[in-house]
Amino acid sequence: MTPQAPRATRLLNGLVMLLASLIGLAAFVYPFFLSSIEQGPTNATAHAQDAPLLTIVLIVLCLGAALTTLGTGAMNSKIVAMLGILSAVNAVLRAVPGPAGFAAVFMLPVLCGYVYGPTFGFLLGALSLLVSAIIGAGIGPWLPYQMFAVGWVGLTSGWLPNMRRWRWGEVAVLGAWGLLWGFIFGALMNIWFWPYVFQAQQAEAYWQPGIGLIETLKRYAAFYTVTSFWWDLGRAAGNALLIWAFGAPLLRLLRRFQKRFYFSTE
Amino acid sequence: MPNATASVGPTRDATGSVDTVPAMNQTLAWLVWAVCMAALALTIRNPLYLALIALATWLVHIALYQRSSLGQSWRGLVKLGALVWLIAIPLNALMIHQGNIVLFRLPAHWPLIGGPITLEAVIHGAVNGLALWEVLAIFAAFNMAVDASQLLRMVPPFLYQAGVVASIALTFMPQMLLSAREIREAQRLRGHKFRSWRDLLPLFVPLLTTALEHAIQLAESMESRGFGGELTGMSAQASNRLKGRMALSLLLMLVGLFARSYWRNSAWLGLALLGIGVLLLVSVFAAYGHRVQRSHYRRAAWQTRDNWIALPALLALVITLGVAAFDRMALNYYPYPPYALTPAFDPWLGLVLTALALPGLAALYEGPPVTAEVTP
Repeated sequence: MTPQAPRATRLLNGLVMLLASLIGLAAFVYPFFLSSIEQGPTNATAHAQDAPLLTIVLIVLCLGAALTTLGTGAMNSKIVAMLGILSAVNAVLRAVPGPAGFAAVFMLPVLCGYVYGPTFGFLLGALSLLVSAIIGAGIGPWLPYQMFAVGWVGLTSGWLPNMRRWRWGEVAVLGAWGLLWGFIFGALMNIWFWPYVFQAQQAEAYWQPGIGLIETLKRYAAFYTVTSFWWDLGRAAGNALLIWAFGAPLLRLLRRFQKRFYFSTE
Repeated sequence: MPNATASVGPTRDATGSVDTVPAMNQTLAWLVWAVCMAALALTIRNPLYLALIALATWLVHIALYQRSSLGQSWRGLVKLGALVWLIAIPLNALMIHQGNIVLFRLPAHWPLIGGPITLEAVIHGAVNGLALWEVLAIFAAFNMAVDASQLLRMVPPFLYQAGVVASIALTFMPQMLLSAREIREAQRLRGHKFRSWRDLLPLFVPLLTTALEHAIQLAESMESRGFGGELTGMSAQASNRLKGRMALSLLLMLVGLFARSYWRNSAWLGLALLGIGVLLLVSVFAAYGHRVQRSHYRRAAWQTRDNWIALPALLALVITLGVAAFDRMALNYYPYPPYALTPAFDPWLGLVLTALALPGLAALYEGPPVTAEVTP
């Protein structure tokens, strides 16, 4: 959707986005890099004081870098207008009530990211969260994390291969993609505190330094299943149902407008 | 250069002689207040100090409640915070089985929650919940104190496009709700009944179509007013050079974060790399911002009352961080053995945190909003 930039610019945009996303991800999984002396009830509490402040500052800076990079050179008046209008629609969708962790805010970033590309998807996801926070009095330290995470939903949806020839298979895959992101979003959002906690009696559900990646994943899966799986199930199922129910007509609509937004004058 | 987020100025009345605008406290002062207060709530775990911060936040709520149109929404946010508190206490009590004062026991073979439920874990859960609740309450007050248009004017120049997108979205929102109502009525006239979520497709698709048609009209009118093409006036080479510097700064930050976390014996190296990366990134932001020219119809001036909002919070944060640098446990509270169940209290630090009530008291003293005369 966004105008085709020169190769060097695209590479630099990709590099900045990759590094900003890596720092954002590092902010989430930061405690896994800590040595053993940081774990344990007392030290964990002490460490927990500076970790949130540091990661909030870093994630705000990275979000600024991502928005600046993607915005520069890629935003003409059509893109700005379309992003503004779709952000408003998505911000209103966020207010739609539903069971457990249901949030209708993921449908448009998935579909628009898939049709209009990763840059548009990221910007729509991040900016619609900002707009909904402004209208819903939801501005707070959690906002940059949410903006990044929903931005990633749109970004990665743009990486999916074009499945247009599959007809209903396309909508089925996008619905499954929404289902997957419903769980990933929840797992990302509660992973930041998990490594700080350790209970010797239930070691099979907690992380300890040096246990290795596979064992870490096993333990986190046990912890996640018991604590937040059912909450995230509402979000994931909601994403899938919305995309399966509304996906086909919305994709047709977005593609029709893609042609109208593509024209340019010399 | 186009005006990305132009201020909305005062409107001239019929006589054309006097113009009135609401005299509001500057958004920047409330932003400083909110950031400092949230930093304090995230840093402190001592319940007595947290109670002083809660008192200060409550005073601000009382003062602003009558003035803000967001009165209902902040109440909802505070209720949400209270709900988080109610969740945090049982969660901590069920997951942490340390402490001497056992309230009751759950079967040990129950996964995660099995074992003794202790008073210490209940208290610790309450303190953690209180800190989280306070962060929510602080930002609820901040959302009440500022309005959306003032907030958008504070978008830094390098993010002007994000500011324009947000402005468009906020402006379009009422129009979209009106369109939704019209489409709903039209569909009902055609005999469509909205019984479940599956019946919403005939509402949502026309709504999105209308919205995208609006986007095209808006884009055309923006282009006809000169908002098109590259707004920073930078060549592709200059833009790429800045992006290269940005990539380098992010790489330094990433390496610094890794070095600080992994090589604990040489944490200074990580901090230094992080600091250099942050400074380089800020310089890139400044370079982008320098190329964007914005006009302001009327600049908000920093007034004396803004000092009463920002300075107490800023001073309290500086002093508290200074205390924490010398004695880390001074701000902490840990009810589990071998520590005492009753929290420690330093009267001097308590006095500093009591000063946080000044913005709320000043706002209460100020009373309802006044209008200031602006001469043409």
